[in-house]
Amino acid sequence: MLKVKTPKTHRAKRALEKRAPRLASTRPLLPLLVENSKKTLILHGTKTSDVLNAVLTQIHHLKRDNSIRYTKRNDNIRPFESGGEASLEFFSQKTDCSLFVFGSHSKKRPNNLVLGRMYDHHVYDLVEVGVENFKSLESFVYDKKIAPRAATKPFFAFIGEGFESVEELKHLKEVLLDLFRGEAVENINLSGIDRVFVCTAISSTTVFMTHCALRLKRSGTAIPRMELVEVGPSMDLVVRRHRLPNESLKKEAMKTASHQPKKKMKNVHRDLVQGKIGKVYMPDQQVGDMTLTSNIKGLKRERRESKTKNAPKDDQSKKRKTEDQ
Amino acid sequence: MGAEKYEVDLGNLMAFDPSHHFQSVPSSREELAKACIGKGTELVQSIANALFSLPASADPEGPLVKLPPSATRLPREKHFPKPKPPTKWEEFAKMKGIKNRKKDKRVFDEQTDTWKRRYGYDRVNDDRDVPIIEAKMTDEPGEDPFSKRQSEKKQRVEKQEKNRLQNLKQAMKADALPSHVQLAATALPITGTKREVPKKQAEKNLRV
Repeated sequence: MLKVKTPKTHRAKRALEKRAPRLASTRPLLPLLVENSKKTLILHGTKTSDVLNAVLTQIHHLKRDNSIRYTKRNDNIRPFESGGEASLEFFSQKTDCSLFVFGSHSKKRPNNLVLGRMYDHHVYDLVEVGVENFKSLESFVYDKKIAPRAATKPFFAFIGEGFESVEELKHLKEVLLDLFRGEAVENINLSGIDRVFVCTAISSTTVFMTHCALRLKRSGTAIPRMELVEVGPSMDLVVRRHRLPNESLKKEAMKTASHQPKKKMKNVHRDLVQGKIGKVYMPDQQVGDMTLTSNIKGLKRERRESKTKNAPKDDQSKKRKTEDQ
Repeated sequence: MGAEKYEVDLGNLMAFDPSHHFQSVPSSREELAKACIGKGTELVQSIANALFSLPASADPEGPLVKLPPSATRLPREKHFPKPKPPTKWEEFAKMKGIKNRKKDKRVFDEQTDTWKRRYGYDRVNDDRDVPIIEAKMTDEPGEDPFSKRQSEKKQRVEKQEKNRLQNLKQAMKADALPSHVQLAATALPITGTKREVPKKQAEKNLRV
């Protein structure tokens, strides 16, 4: 026997509606139609080094508005192995996160970071990177006034041909963009741009990534001169393993609302010369049902006679009218 | 200068320089960072050039700019919401060509000579407002017409509830349940009522 379970409070109902799949829309006034920005889940493996702990905390710090950090050790998460993602998918379901950063440290793969995305709470793709030459947020000295504010939309600068020619780096670029881009917005406040991620492909496997604050300087024109101040963290990411999304899954996940077929409008077509043309069908005139009174103009004898004399015979019962719109 | 040689994706505020290649990677970290930031500044400047030349609208918080849609396509987080399958009534109404008509919320109640709600509290034709039910030839003797009326109403409500559950089940099959509704089993099957071991396996066990 089945029972219908519905939330007991409105708050719970709203929380569930927030998680429901939505259409993407460009209309900002309909928040329910816009897909929510992806949340990030930050996880630790069985062992993590000090460096990795710092990396995970600072990624969490950079994405403060939209990330959840679990500090317990997880011994059953191995994203690249089959069966090792069950726990991960469960956490994704539980927290409604669709991006994850998983840190682990082993002899074979020291300072290992797995960046991944989920689609519909299933692993979509994975990139594994090793962290080297990590410089933490605290080690940078700069004027604290220019420190980026929380949850501002970052700029991205990707430098190097590696991001185009090497498949792993191309993939990493997309994942990094998805991870740090923040909310997908339609309008942006120009006074609120204050951070940039600079990623440089040093070799075919290594990417130097750093986080900078933006300073807008007067240039004499409407466009300010940009100045970058490194605020950290900065690190080298060495690509290890990666897994691209399944082709069919990718096709499914890349669908956008504009790709949905439009509903066909009846009786309207387009003409090359005349433009939009609509057909209007007039229903049959119900002459017999009309109420008759003695003084209807059309029934007067002299008019009737003159009309039958002059007018040509017309036996059309159904009128079809075509008009331009 | 050179803004064309960078790929700029304004929707994501991203610029990409696919042509850059290090002649020799700087040996020290400081030099590397400096070189990268120098190059990054150029890229950011090219984004800013494009961004600040977009038409801006004034806002007390600062100028607002409408961003173009992003060029880099990123995967969705969840699938599209699936369309709800039609309920049995909707199918029937479509077949018969029945259309919804608006009905008045207030109806005149002949029992009490007042205007009352069509449904809900203080509704029209309420059982409590019916003082007399006239006997008919078909009536069975010894049956209380008032309690009969009540039980009939109860049955109708139960039937509707059954239909609703059936429609929800159909929606669940199509993966189109409303997000706030969950269908859960009220009770697990009692062990012993169902055959626990599949037949084939049971045979195998017997042989060993």
